Amino acid sequence: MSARRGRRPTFEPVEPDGMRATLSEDELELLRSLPAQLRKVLESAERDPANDRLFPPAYLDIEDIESEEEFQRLARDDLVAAKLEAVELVTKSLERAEPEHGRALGGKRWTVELSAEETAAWLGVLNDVRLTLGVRLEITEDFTGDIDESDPRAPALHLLDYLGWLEEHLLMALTAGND
Amino acid sequence: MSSSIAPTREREETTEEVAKPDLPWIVIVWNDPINLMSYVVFVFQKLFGFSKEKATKLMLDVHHKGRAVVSSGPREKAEFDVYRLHSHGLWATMQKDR
Repeated sequence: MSARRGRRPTFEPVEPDGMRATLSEDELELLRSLPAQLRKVLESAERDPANDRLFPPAYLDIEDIESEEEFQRLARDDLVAAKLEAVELVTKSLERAEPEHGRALGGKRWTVELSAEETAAWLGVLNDVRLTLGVRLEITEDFTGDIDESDPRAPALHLLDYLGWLEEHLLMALTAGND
Repeated sequence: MSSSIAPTREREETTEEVAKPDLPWIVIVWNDPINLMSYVVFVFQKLFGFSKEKATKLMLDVHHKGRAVVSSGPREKAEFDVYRLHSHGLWATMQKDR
């Protein structure tokens, strides 16, 4: 994922409310692997830190413990279903990616046009994948992207950095012209 | 108008309500190290219809003070807002405003 700075935009708004994503082959392959990873976390019956982060408690006060149990009972299934639907939308949209025309040099690039609903799903999935990755990497302070290459977590930290960059650009494209 | 039992129960309920006034609930968003600042602003605007300025100020409160109150109201409204914030990956909780 090197040499990504200074290149042309990954995301470009398409009238009326769609979004065009243009990706390198490496990026496409990487993004195609993410939904399955997230689905695994979402479908896991066992509680783990990533799961706890995606479905945090609503009530903190110990005296509200019954309300908390009720909230989790009612909300959890809906939340999982909504997130799984987003995973599905992202998976399907990535299957539609086509080689970009007229590119002979600099490697093949792929492009896909997303509906507004799919764009929202991409944002949600990117964010949820980053949250679970952050938990697994035990990130506790704001992540700046400074990575120590001798750190055994370096490859995963680079992935987190890249996904943050991608999400930032998606947000920029989504909010362009709204200021 | 023939019942002589019901009023007794009604009175008990009324007494309890007076003793425990119905405090509004507040929804708090907590700082976390992964969510992007721009993402938090985007979600605040999308869910609550805040202006960019208000959403940005609340995001900065979360970032610098560790938390910010983003909405308040009856329990049902607070639960709904917490649910929507959780569905967008924000770390939100609710509690009585006291």
